[in-house]
Amino acid sequence: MNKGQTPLLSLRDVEFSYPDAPPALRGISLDICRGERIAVLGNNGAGKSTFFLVCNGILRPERGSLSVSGREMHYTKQELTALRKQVGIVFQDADNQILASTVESEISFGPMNLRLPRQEVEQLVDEAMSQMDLTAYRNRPPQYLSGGEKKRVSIADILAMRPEIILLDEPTASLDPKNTELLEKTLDQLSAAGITLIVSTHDVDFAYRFAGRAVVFHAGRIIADAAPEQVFADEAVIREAGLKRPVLFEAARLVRRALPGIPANASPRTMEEFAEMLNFAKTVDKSL
Amino acid sequence: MQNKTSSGNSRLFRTRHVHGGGFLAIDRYAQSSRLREVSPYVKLFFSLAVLLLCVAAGSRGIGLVVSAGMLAACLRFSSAPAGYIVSLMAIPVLFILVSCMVIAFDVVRSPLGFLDIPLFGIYISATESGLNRALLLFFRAYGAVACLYFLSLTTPIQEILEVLRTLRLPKLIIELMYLIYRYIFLLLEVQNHMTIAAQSRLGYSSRRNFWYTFTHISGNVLAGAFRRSGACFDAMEARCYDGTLCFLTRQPPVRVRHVMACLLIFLALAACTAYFKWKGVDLF
Repeated sequence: MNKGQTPLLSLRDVEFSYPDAPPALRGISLDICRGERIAVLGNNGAGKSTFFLVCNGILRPERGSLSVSGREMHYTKQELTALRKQVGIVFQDADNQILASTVESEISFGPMNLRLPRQEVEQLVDEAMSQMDLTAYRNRPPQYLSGGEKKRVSIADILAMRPEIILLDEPTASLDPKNTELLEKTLDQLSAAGITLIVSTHDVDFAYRFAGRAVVFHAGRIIADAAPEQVFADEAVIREAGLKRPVLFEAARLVRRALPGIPANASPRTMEEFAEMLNFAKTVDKSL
Repeated sequence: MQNKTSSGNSRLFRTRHVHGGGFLAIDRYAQSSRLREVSPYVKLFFSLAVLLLCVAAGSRGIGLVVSAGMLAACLRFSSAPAGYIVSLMAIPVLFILVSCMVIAFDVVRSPLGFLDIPLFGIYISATESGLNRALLLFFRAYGAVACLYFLSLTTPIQEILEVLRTLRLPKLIIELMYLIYRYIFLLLEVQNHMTIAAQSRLGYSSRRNFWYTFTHISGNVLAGAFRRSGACFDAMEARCYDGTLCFLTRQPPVRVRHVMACLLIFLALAACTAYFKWKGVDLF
């Protein structure tokens, strides 16, 4: 987190509960800065989805405040529209999000709601389609596309609104390995384009590869908020949130223990980095 | 090029239909119909004009011609397989037949018709005028339904709504039409999944099981619908939905030759009607 920068989105002691249920969020405080890649971890019912809905202004916190670029939200209509344009959510189930009967008109829903002139809407839709590699599907009904394609449509839906932050609710949940890989590439591209990404996921391996910061939710509270290496090293957090450690993280730990030549802070996040670490170990320890 | 992709699409849709597209498939077929390049205005006005003519003509001959013509047009221009169209067109026959039966019979005190069923001193009799009325009603109603089938098999709902919007139909009605249309599909899908899951656990193995499973699935579909509608509304709001559904649609322009073709067909039908009225005859 850059200290000097005004956070794009900032939550202070946010509390929220659904009727007839224990509180879903109990005092959440979080600053999100431009360009961050955040993984939101935690078991089912920890409050991740509720947190997303608060960030987008769908749910209004009962206590606490939400600030956008340093200005506190008062939930007027203009503020809400501005917030939802700035912060987009890609929902877990694309079927709940997809509304229109062609890919093109589906993607246009957001920009049309922003009441932009037709020409601008067309341009935004075209851009979002080419970014998500959907141009060939322009006139196809999105309801009947495959799971991976639907996911791309639901991301294009949000991209067409030119958001600064995109929240993705368990984007890998219904994807096969190949589509998950594609999604990761897409996320890298979005991140490179300067979009702040917040991704909730149960896939710790993916989170470890992807995120620069991991936020762990448990029972409506944030119990950890740090770099992924630190979070996964924290035994108490792992146990409380019922998390598993990423395979590479565990493997690196074993390797570090077995080969004393490797610096203690080496924590490879990808297979390539892991191989590099092993090579480094070889140069240090000639007996290998 | 355009043709190639559209036939490719329809082949894809056909193979998917085997997995149980059923009624749901209409919109997909409309999306890839061979009249995609015809403006929805032309299609809507043509269908409605022929429908009105069919209803107003009061001639079973015209009803028959419209029914047959629209069926032929669906077979010719829709991307749906012929078997699907015919089975779709067969659905209303039963409903209309039942209503026509009621019209065909009169309750009278003395036997007058060619078929009289005595019942506690009165007669339920089928008279010739009753039969004529029933026939007229049948062909009139069926012709009207066929017009609507033609429209829905060749024009995606979104385009129809766009036209209705420019015709200043109240916003509320358009939104309701669209959302109902959209979510019927979702609900049917949920119902379909649950039925399969129930079948795999022998939920329909006996009559008692059938009713038990059926009522539970109905209840769950309702509960699921509520949950789902909440999630869908959240997703709409997240994209700045403020009570007006609007989409970018690229409508094909109104072309003179399409208008002329429609006008020609309509005028031919109208001329037929006028001729029948003038001569006081009918086709059969």
